Formats: sequence, C-alpha cells, structure tokens
Amino acid sequence: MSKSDVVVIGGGISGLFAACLAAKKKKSVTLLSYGQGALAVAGGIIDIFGYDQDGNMVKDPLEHIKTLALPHPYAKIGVDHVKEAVDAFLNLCKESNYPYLGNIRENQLVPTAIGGFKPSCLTPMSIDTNLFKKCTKLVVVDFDLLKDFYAQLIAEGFSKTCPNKQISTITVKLPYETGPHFRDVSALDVARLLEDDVSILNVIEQLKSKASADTLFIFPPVIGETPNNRVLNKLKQALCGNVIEVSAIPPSVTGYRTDAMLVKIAKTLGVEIIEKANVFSCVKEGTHCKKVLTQNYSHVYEYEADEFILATGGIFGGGTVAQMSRMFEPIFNIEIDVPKDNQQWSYQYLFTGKPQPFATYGINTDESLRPIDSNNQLLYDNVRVVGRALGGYDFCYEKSGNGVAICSAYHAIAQI
Amino acid sequence: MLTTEVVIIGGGATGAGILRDLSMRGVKAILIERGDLGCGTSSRFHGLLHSGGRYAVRDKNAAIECIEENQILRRIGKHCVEPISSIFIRTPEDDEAYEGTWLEACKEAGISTKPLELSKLFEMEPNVSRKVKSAYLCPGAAIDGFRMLWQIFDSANRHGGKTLTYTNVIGIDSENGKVVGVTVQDMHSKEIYKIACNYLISATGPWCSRVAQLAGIDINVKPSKGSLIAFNHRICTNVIHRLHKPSDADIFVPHGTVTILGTTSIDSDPDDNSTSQEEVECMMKIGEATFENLRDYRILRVFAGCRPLYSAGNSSGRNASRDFAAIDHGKEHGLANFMSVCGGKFTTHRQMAQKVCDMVCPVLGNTAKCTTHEVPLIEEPSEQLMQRAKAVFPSYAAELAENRQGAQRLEQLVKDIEKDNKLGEIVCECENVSRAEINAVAEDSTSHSISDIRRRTRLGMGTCQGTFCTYRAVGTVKSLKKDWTEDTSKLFREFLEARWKGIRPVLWGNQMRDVDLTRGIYEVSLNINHEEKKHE
Repeated sequence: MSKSDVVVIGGGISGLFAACLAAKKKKSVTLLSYGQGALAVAGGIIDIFGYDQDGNMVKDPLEHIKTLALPHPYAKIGVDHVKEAVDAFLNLCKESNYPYLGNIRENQLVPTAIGGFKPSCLTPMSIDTNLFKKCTKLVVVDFDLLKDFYAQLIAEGFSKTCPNKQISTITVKLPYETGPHFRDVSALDVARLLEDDVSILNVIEQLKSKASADTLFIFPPVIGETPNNRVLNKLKQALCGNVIEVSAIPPSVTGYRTDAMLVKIAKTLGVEIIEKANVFSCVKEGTHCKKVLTQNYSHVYEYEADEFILATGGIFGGGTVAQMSRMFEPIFNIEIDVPKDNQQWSYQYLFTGKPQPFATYGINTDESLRPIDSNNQLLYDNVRVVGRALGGYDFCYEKSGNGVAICSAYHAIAQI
Repeated sequence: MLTTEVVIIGGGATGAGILRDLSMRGVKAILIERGDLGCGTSSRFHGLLHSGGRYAVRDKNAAIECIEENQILRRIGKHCVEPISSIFIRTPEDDEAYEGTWLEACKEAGISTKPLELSKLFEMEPNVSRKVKSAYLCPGAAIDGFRMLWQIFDSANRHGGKTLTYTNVIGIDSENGKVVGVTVQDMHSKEIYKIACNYLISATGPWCSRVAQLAGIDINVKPSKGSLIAFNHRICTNVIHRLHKPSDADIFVPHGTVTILGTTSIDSDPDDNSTSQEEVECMMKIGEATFENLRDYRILRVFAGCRPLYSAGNSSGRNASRDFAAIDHGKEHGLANFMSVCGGKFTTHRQMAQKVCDMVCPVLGNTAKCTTHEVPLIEEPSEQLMQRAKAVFPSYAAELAENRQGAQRLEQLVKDIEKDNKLGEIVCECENVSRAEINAVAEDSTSHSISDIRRRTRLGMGTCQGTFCTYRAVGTVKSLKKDWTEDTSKLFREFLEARWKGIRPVLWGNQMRDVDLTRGIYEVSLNINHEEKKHE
C-alpha cells in the first residue's frame, strides 16, 4: 500500500497540471495514469473560450468568462482563479524552456489543416499567429508519403479565407521506403525524423529557395518531438523566421510535446507517476475517501491519500460511462443526471450551431469541485473533479477544453 | 429529347435486375433513380442471402424461389456473397411443435436441413446461448447488397443499359391510353426534360403508390419499415436464425467484421428510415435469446429500410405476402405499356426481373430468352493481375478491392498506383480503401458526394464510422476539382451527418466515445463549423 498527500487519477493535461501544482506546494503526489490523455488527440493548443452560445467568436476570453453562470465550470472556478491558473501554466512552461505565446485577454486565430482558422488562446512557439498577419505569401509544406495532410485542401482553404495572400504548395521528399511491407508515415514519424541533424538539413535544402521575409511556411504538426523548440529554431533560422504549424487530426504532435513537457516537470518535482494503473474502485468512510484501488492482472493495489483529484476525462477518456438511459462515473460510483430517453441527449444534426446536450453531461460539483448528488448533497469531502469529467459545458462547441482542464486543476489544488 | 424503348424508374435491386435482363435481351433501356443507386430499400436490409427456410412453412413458392436464386447468385455474383451457411436454432422460447412442420416444409421446398449436434453447434458458434434446444444447418449466406447492385449495373452497362442518377420523375406522359414517356428533373442542375419510351416500368418498391399517382392510378402498396442494428463484431460465423414463425429481431447476419441484427416491421412512410430507442431495446431483448451477452458488444449504428408490401386486400406487416407483384396498368387501370413491380426480396430480385421481362418483351416484339442466370456479373481477374495488385496493396486490400471493383477497374487501380505510389495510401483503414479507388469512384459521373463513394467502396462503414477517413476522403476528392467538391464544409458535413444519423439512436457505450472523438477532431481541431469565415 502507498500513502501520499494527494492522489491524482488520470494522466491527461488536467491531471498532470494538478499534480505539478500540488507538488509545487510541497505535497507528496502520486499520479495514476492509464493510457494516454486527450492531448494526443486535440493538440497542445490551449483553448480558453472561443465561441459564445450564439456562435459568435469571443474577442476577450476573460471578459466572456465573467458573464458565465452556473453550472459552467468557469463560474465555479471564478475569474481570479482562471487568471491565476493561466499565469501558473505560462510560468511552468517558461521554466521548462518551452514557453507558450498568447494571453487570456485575446483569442488568436490558429490555422487549421483545412485552410481555415480556429480561435484559441495560448499556443506553443511553433504556432505564432503573428506571422500569419505579417506574411503576404503562404507556402503549404507537404511531405511526400506523409499521411493525413492534404496541402491542396489547405491551400485552397486559405485562398478563400485569405484572398489577399499569395498561396502555393511544395512537397518535400523524404527518404522513406514504400510498398506493401511498409506502414504509413505519420506526423510523429516526420517529427522524429526532423530531430535528426542530417534529415533536417535535407528538408531545409528543399525549402530554402522559397524563403523570404514575407513568406510563411505552413507545416503539418511535425516540428520536433521534444518540447525544447530545437527543431523549430533550426527551421526558423534557415527560413527567415517564418514557420508555423497547423491544428490537425491525430496523432497530434503538438500535444505530445506538451504532454512530454508536463511529465518532465512532474517527475522533476517528485511526482510519482504510476502508468497502466487502472483505478476501478475506492474505499470510503461516510463521505471521506480513504483510498483508491487499481488492478493489474490479478494484483490489486491500494493508494491511500488525504486528497483525491479525479482527472479521468469524459466519455472519450472513459472517465464517465454511458449506457442506454444512464451515465455514471465508475470509480466513485457517481450517478450523472441524464434524460431517460437517449433521443433527448442530442439534436438531429451533429453540427448544429448550438451546444449538444450530451456534451454537457458530467459530474455535478459544488463550487470547490467536490461531487454532489441531484439534491446538492456532498458525496465526497476530499475528492475534487477536474477537466472533462465536469458537467455543464460543451468544450467542442465553445472551444474551452484545455482551458477548463488547467483552470479546474488550479482551482482544485488551491483548496488543498 | 432522349428516346429509348423502356424506362425503368428506381435504382434498387428490382430495377437493376430488370435493366440488366432487358439489356442482355437487346432491349434499349434507361433506368432513372432520384438519388444514388441503391440508396433505398435494397441497401437497407440484413444482407441475407435467404435459403428459403424462413418462408418454407408459410409460403412454399417463395421458399422455392429463394433456394433456386440462392444457388444462382452464389454462382453469378460470387464476389458479393460470403459463402457461409445459415443455422436455425430453436431456443426454449420457441414452439417445439413448429420444428417438425418446418422440417417437412423445407424438405418439400428442396432446402437442405442438416441436424447439428449441440456440441458441434457450440464449437461452430461459441457465443450462441447454451439454452438452445436444437439446431439445423441450411444453405443461407451473407450478401453485400451495395456491391451486388453496383455489379449488376456494371453488367447492364456493358450490355448497353443506361442509368441516370439524381434524376426525379415528375410526370408520366401518355397519349391515347398509352404511356409514351416521362418528364424528369435533374436534381443537381434542376433542368427539366422528357424521355420518350414505349414502355414504362416502375420498380420503386415502397414508393410505387406515389409513382403510380403521377398517372392518376391508385395502388395499394404498404410501406413497412424494418430497423436493423449493426454490431462492431463478428458475433457469429454463420447466419443465425431463430427456428420459429418469422418474427422481429430473429436473424443475425455476419458481414466481414460486423454483424447485423434485424429486423422490425412497422407500417410507415416510405421516406422514414428513422429508428427509435424503443425499437432498439425491443430488438436487443429478443436478440438476447440467441446471444445472452449481446449487450456487451458495441453497437456501430442502426439503420432502417422500407419494404414494399403489396396487398390486394388489407393485410399488412408480417401477414402480408413477401411475394412480388407485377401490376399491368393496361389491364388493371386502362393505361397501357405501364407496369408497377414491387414486393419480393433481394435474394429473388433476378427471378422477378426475369418474370417481368418475359411479360414486357413480347409487347415490344422482342422474343429473346433470359440469360441473366448464366452470365457472371463481373469478369474474373487473371492470376497475373492479382499478383500485380498484391505488390501494390497492403495485406488483403488487393482482394477486397477486386471484390468491390471487379477485374477491369482493379487493373486501372493497379496501373494508377504503379505510376504514383502515393495513390496506394489507404484512406479508409477499416475497409482497406485506397486513394486510387476513391479517386476512380469519385471520377465516375454517378458520384456527387462522399456518401455516393461510400456505397461503392464501403468507405467509412467500419469501426471508426468516418472519424478518421472523412478528412482523408475530403482531402482526396478536393484535388479532383469537380463541381461537387467545391464546398469543403459541405463535403465534411454531408458525410459526418450521414454517419451521425445511424449513431444517434444508440448514443451510449463505445459508439458515444467515438462521437466524442469525431467532435474533437472536426469541431475542436478543424473547426469545420466556422471555417468559412474570413480571416481579418
């Protein structure tokens, strides 16, 4: 049996950030992770708040957050903690030599892999949206054999969204072997290749004749695997500083980098990370959680703590489970109030110009993020819910996923 | 104005069969479909190639037709048939007395029923309920409805048959008590024009009443909706039937990596292909008698189709005959050279077409005999072509591409990939569809959306339900610069919403996780809802 001050369940962005913050407060922290967080899917871009209920783009995320009412998680967290959380995240990144750009008072327009834009707030250095404003020529960089990147589609998209810019594409040849015995080349493969000093020179060689002070090279998310901007700086040096990555489909290398950075910080701060730890149950006394249990093969392990952070994600991550007419949280056995008729969970169309009801289903909590039942009775006095398991918001629609993750993590740890 | 001998309305199995039959007899024919080929009832069924066992007791003729056609389709359409067997099982809930009656009826119809020892059954089908009392092996199989339709049209086209998709019939033109043509509208260009013909056949299934109405004729075709559930697993190796009087949700048909459970029978509007949660729950409950752990399997999606049940009287639903009806409007309603064909089953579509053509051809002065049962739908690929294909496609994709596209198209695909290896990239990993195949089908004049490509390739029909391959498919077709690929946002929405339609009624379990991922990709990362806004 292991005993720590804080047990964090879940190794996505909210769990990792919470663990780092708790460790900074000199708590002994154990983080139990199973699989990989959603950073690998949605990327290392930190959306705070992109669109209001009517679908209008939000200019100032912080101002908009002030207007939100319960049960939105931001309304529980409060504006002060939202601000402090963002500062804490930016500082953590800076200390780790992987600084983020942006601030909570404005949204940036991040280019996407279909030649459009998405509003987001904080971005890694490899997505400096100022370059987009500055440059008048765009070169979409395709890599021969790279799967899931369509330079033509992106170029055509930008020709509509940026009619005043001059747009072209270029295909970089890579030394991969092809044929039925070789697997597809993913963005992660190219990112790893670019870490190699010789390979990156090869890539630069093929691009540099197009470089100029007002030409922006638009890359798939492949600019290095490690969170240190080494590859980015090399490319920038050779290409007049004008290099940007787009927001694309998984595997999201920008997310892998942020994940690697947070894991590194957590380990440096002494967080004990237990991987493949499938938490399946808890032991409680009254409303007090004593310990949680994990199971690997036939072994059951117990993790005791004073405080528990539930950061297991939503339906996608498995933090909440949906059945016909029912939704619940499986570790602490928390029922989530949902309509009996599943037809009421969603609208006729998936992309419908308003939040989807099912996306807002999640654990109901008090203002300090402790789970409560439908009669507002406290279920656990030492369990705090962070990230996607929270109810009351549709992160896809409003573009607030990673924002709620880091802010709720900060709010939870602030009370410990 | 277009002129032809016969106009066929309806691009389902019946219409396809008639077009092929007429074309092979040397009759000029044009088939008109208001949507895409096979977008109606013919693709919205189990994909069961009946042995006839299901109908043996109640409808001996239907049973005999089934077993005859079963043998023929296995021969002429072998790329569309998964040559498995069907097993009829009697559970404790099923009437024991029916078993003897059924065995006798099958014998009379010429359907083989080999008794299976229960130990042998459980060895063959380990997931089947241990409470099963008896089991029989019959010659049913799984058939890919989309693929067979596509191949029938291919075969018909090779014999001179023509098809016009996305073309809606808005009027039936007659002179002196005879049909002389139809007025149609192109659904994309909105252009209205006439097609002259000597004979008109409406093979519009549950829409037959509506089409006949265009000529002011009332016929009693009752659309009966059947819902089906697709599971993301091969739960059984063979088709599993319940040995009882035909009823709801008593058939499981495995197809590749999925299993289809169906069906229900509800009177409805022919355009209604929705499924309610109650229907799903009802089918799951019944299905549990066959597979006790049915609820542990992930549901991929649900879908529904409308059967056209013709009745001279008032019976409907399961009591109405599954036999087909050919209504000669000259004899019945005084409008000559016009026939409505409806009812029947996918399994027996070829025989229906043969009977219809035997009636229509003499009117046109054609005395040729039917040969549709003798000629395979597509040519066999050469050994050499398959070797070349295996060199450019990964794992079993070569065989799948050949099954889907036939030898002629496969050869072109192989050539394309040999020339540009990037075209060998697999766009849909679940169904192993290459970029070359997407390109080829997208270039076909009948393609107007990614869903149209799906029906010819199975793109997006596997586990991920379009989550990953939609982006790839859009990226691929955009480079072709067709009229219909102009609007990127529309391409995404059309396909993702079509996939969503089947998932929405079963939004729980792992399929809900997949929806979360889909939204994460398309809404969060690609922002497809808003991408059209200008960058300031």
